[in-house]
Amino acid sequence: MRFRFDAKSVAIALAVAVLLVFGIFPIVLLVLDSFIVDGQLSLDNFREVYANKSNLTAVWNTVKAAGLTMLIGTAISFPLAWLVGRTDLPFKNVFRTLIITPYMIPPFVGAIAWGYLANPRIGYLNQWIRALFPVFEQGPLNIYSMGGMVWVLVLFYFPFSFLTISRALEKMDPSLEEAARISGASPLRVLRNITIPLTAPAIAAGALLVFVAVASAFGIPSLIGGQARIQVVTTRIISYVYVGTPEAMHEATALAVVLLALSVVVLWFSNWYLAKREYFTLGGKSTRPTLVELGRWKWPAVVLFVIVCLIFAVLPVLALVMTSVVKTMGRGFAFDNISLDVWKSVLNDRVTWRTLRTSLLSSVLAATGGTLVGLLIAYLKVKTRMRLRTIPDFLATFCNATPGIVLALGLIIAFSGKYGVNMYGTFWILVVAYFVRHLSYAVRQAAAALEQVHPSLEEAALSSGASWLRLFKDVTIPLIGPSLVGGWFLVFMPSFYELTMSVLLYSSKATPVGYHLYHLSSFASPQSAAVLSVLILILVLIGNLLMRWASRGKVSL
Amino acid sequence: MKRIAVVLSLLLALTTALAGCGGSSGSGSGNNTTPSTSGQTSGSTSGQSETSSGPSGKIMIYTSIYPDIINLVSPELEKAFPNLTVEWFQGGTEQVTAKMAAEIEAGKIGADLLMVADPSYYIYLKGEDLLLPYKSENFDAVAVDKDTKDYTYTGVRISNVVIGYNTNLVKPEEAPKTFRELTDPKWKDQVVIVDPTLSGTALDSTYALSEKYGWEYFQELRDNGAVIGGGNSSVETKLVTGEFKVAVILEENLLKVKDRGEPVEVVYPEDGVIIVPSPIGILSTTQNAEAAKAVVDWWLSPEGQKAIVTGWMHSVRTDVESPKGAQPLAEFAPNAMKLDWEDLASRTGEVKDKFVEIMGSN
Repeated sequence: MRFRFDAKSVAIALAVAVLLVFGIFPIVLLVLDSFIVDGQLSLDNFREVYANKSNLTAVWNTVKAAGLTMLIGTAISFPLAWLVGRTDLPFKNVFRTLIITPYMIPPFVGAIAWGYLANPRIGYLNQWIRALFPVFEQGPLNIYSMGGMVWVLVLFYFPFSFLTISRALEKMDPSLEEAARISGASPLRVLRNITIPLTAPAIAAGALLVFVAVASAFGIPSLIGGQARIQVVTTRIISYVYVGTPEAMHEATALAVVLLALSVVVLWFSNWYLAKREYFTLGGKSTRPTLVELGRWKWPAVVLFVIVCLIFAVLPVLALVMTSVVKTMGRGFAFDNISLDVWKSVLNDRVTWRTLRTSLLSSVLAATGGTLVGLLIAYLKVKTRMRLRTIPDFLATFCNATPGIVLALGLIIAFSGKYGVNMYGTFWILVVAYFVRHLSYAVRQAAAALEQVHPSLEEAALSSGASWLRLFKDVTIPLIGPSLVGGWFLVFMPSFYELTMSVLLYSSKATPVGYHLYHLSSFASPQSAAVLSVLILILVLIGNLLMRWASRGKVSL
Repeated sequence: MKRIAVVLSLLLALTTALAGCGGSSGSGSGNNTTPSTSGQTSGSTSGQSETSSGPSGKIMIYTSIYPDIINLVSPELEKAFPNLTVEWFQGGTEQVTAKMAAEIEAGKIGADLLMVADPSYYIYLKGEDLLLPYKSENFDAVAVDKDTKDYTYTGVRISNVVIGYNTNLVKPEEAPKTFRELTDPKWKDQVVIVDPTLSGTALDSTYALSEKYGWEYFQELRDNGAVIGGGNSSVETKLVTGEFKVAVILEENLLKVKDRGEPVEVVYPEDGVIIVPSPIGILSTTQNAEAAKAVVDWWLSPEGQKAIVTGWMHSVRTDVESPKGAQPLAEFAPNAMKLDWEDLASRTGEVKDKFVEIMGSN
């Protein structure tokens, strides 16, 4: 199909243009900026940045933390996903939801919670352990270490891998497994020889997602890494930005480019690897797979899941709630030391509501724009024969894999007026940042749904004389409505509690709640931060329930 | 589709509800405007003009003063300047200066008045010609560091970096007496300090200690297991909860939580308290110089200074009392550490870098 000037082409061209202007342009500018010193093309910024030993250590720490998290995260995701997806485990739907609760908790909040749980001296967990086993003088858990940081990172980023593997297990054609079973292979043999090889691409893709997400994480490394003396690339970038001079900004961009390169390599590798071995049979037409009977392992598996859920979901929330109701922090948690004063002051503070409103508004706008643009980009990819039709999808994924800090720096450079648009310091830059960063979730969701829509329906509409707009409005959108809602929420939720980009982009006129939380915990009142965390958590949970209900169970986090 | 419609309308309702509650601020509906934290602005608009006297319009103050003090001051300012809308942008000193840097780069400074902690930053701004000279009517009453040549800035509040200890864990007679002592094995793994890349006063204390004892001091602190605990408030929490026995922290944080009944006590180190006379200055780019000047006068007046003291900081005037529970400035000032603000102004980045290199990496 050649490009024609009609509603369809215009709409798609607009969507792609938006992506290019708000996503790709800033990133390209940032990369160029890092190569320029005093108006000259030069590698000085890089030379300077990498002459500094702290930066090299930070790069190494980033790779180490992301690599370890990836390995451990994958190692726990696969068995859990398999147990939930392929066995007759009781209560598996409950477990499935509980186990990915961390995905709904802003990682930064999780880091605060784990700080309260497992700091060596007075962490709740350590106090409980010491009460049971008085042999320990302090500890035994120390969250402020590489091990502790990786632990928290695993808890908050393994859902990327868990969800990817679960989805693959759901989509996988069960007839192969059944054939093997019928031929007399033991369940373990089926697992080893059929299931694992078939899901290998998903395992790899999930692992790489974890790697990229961890490498660009800021909340957990800044809170836990700081005290553990572990610098990573993102925390170094923020320190450079806080030094505040133009030179420091250049050093920040030079560091950011390395982080970007890391993500691009991983993304490229993942695409290449997956393209080579996409085995999935799409559509789920076959009957439900026969489930592996756990037999006498059934209840041990349940116990395992209960423990896992306790650690992953219940403990951190409990720690936050406990901290938020303590009257004098000096006495710790005791039943005669409880007060709701902090709750009252947070709920009565206008700033709480103002920041919530800012976040709500900006993420509603980002999600709506994201759904619209995402739908068009997905349509371009799935339903047209235009050349290069998959490029915008790749670019959206690229923006998502770009570390938030990098993207935010790019947006500052691109939109502080130098190029005609001045959005920095306004509410709109938040909207743009959230939109660009999370767009690919909407694209993915819409593309998956569009693939299921048979072309005959559209052809019928077109041959009855409907215009493309009409077809789109009356046929396509209603057919994939629930998935679009799902995509909308997938953009909305992470935007709502976003921290990494907000740290750089907030302004006096527009402070998102994620930044407010960061501020409270570092500069104002850590107890208020605990209250606000619980509040955000409640809102996110409600959002998740709504999403599930609105998309009829098709989508949930 | 019905469910989708329900959810969307719910969201819409929620957004409007929240928008409504935020939007009503400053509409003179009788309730006091609550000042903001973390960069929120809040207008303290007064009712319609009573008399035409006094400055009018709007001014924006960028500050690192704690939100509760802004809370305290807002109604007072409203009373003093009924026709003026005062907006605040509050953040850690280093966050405010990062924002300033971006705005200077973009050529669009949002602040009329600046009240951050670190005096050396004002020297930097003065060098960039960004401060408006103004000799306040109260200038002569100010007893601390001020620009006596060009009148571009003057101290407005005094914060002191001291040692705090948790009284549940440390007996008064065992408490450390000096900063030097914190490198003693007695305090192994028990000391928490504030991050100078986040806090202006911590930058000043880092500079002061490194000048007095050399960077080896921080190397020894580090070897003794001292850690960076984040901003002043998160260090305060780590001290109060007993995660650490001893902290190098702002006196005002300690006084505040002690008054609330938390188990902490202040030590004024014998090797010198680090006195930080945080300035106030008017940006030369201000569109409302008249109002900015009036507000500076107010801050330096006894009323303004009393608000400072209620916020647990020391006054820059000698005719205003010390905060509750604090040692009078006159007692520890003679022995205080000497700081060369000009020197620090030119070496800020270097000091932060060096600190992170020693304390921040393994």
